[in-house]
Amino acid sequence: MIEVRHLTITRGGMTALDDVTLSLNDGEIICVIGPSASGKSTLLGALCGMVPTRKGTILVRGDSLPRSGRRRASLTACCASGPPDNPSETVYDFLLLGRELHRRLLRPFSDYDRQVAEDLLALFELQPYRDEAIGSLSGGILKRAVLAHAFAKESYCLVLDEPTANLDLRGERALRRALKRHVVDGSRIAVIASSDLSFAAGTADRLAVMDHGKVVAYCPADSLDAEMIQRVFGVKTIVSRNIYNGRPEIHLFPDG
Amino acid sequence: MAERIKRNEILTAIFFAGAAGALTIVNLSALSPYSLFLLAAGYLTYYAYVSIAEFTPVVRCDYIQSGEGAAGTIGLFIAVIVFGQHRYLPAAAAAIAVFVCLCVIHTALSPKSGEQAVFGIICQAAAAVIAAYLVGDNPARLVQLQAAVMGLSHLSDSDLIIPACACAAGFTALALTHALSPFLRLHALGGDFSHHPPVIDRAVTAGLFAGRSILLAATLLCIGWTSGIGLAVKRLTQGRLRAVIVISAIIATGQITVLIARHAGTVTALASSFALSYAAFIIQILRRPELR
Repeated sequence: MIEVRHLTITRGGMTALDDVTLSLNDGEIICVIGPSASGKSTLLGALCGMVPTRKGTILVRGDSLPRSGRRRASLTACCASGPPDNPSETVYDFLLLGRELHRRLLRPFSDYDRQVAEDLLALFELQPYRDEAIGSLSGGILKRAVLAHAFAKESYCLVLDEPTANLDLRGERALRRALKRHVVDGSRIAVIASSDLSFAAGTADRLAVMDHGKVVAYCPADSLDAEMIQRVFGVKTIVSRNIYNGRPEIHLFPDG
Repeated sequence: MAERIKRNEILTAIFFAGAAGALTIVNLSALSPYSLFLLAAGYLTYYAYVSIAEFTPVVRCDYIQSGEGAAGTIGLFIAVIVFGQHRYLPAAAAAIAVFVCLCVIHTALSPKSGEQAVFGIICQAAAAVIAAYLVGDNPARLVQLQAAVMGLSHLSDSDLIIPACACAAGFTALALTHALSPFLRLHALGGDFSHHPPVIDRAVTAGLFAGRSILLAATLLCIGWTSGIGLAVKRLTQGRLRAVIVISAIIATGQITVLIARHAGTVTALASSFALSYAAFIIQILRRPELR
């Protein structure tokens, strides 16, 4: 369980997070939604320990987040937002490097590490690119590889900021499957920030709705409705239900 | 998973190893055992330099294209003039000059090989002007400059400390990079992918730059600018014979340059080394567009 208590973060003189309190339960996928500049990425950065917190606390499994290093990364790992600096690594090696967190110094990668990399290659449909340099991949395939690298870490809490950006339908399907698999045994958490409300409502167990640095609603994903969206985003929408799982699907009015 | 050796790979390895062996045999009569030791030490440090380059992706070119070679050689040449016959200070000066050049590339240039190659050409032009000014009409300085660009192998010196230290540095770098390979490769992916605190990442970068500088300074002392295709060959080959191909290519080009220097003089040898290095670099950026 992760507990965020009265977290306030100021960046450049502006309040990015204002007294945020949240409890993230094991086995859940939590999606943070909200308009641009509402504090989503700041909250995710704080959960990863990338954004310093001065007021308020974040407790991961009852303890404060270690400042840095392997222990912190094994508790909360953030998915990179940009491409890697070294374009020469092959896709397989890139995924295997995600396991570096669990490798002992001077020891080779274990069979389990290699199996994790192989499984993620299959899950994200990256086998055709296995031996290709990551620098030669298209944007969508590279995004899949970067997501697979993050999942390879098998951290307690996986934090993904706008994971659907650049992803095609196959990539989105793979991402949904990987997220479900990440939390399936009930011992881990996934936190996502997304501007894609249909993806958020269709994938998450809970939604944290943010506006002006505050969490204005923390509710089951099923309860997302047009009224809440209009209140937070100021946009009129139609919220229908998916015919297979009953999850909310958000549509803009055709005339805007 | 065991990787099969492809036929093309075997043929390439045979070609480069054959060329390296044949050229070394041709040059044997003209080289003293000391010169051979010095050349071997230089090839070793250059191979270690090429290996360490994998972990410093911010520099995309080999030492001839990136300007590190020009900076190191001018550092070496100036130190030889200033410190007279002191044996080891020039090596330190070369290493410091390379380190400064690496810091400039790291902080001021984007990781684009084209931009870095232009910076390298500017460095070479500046080095040429400084060298011409320092040599003037002094024939003794011309010999010193020749030593700085061709390595010390043609001198009848028998100081074993320099090649012995170069060998030690080369083997240490290869052993360390082999042992710490996954750690360094994760570091090379960039700060977004590393789970270490920024201070550790910066320390590792500085350590890699220092290692690269020491190895290049040793390379410049032992073989000068005679072999500059190692990085391109490494990036153009894959598979289990990669190390054999890269080492053979380094030795083959180095020995071609030595042969040309014996028969046509230092300037022609240097021009041929430049031509080979730039040809390999151009092939690399044509065949590996992601490294542009």
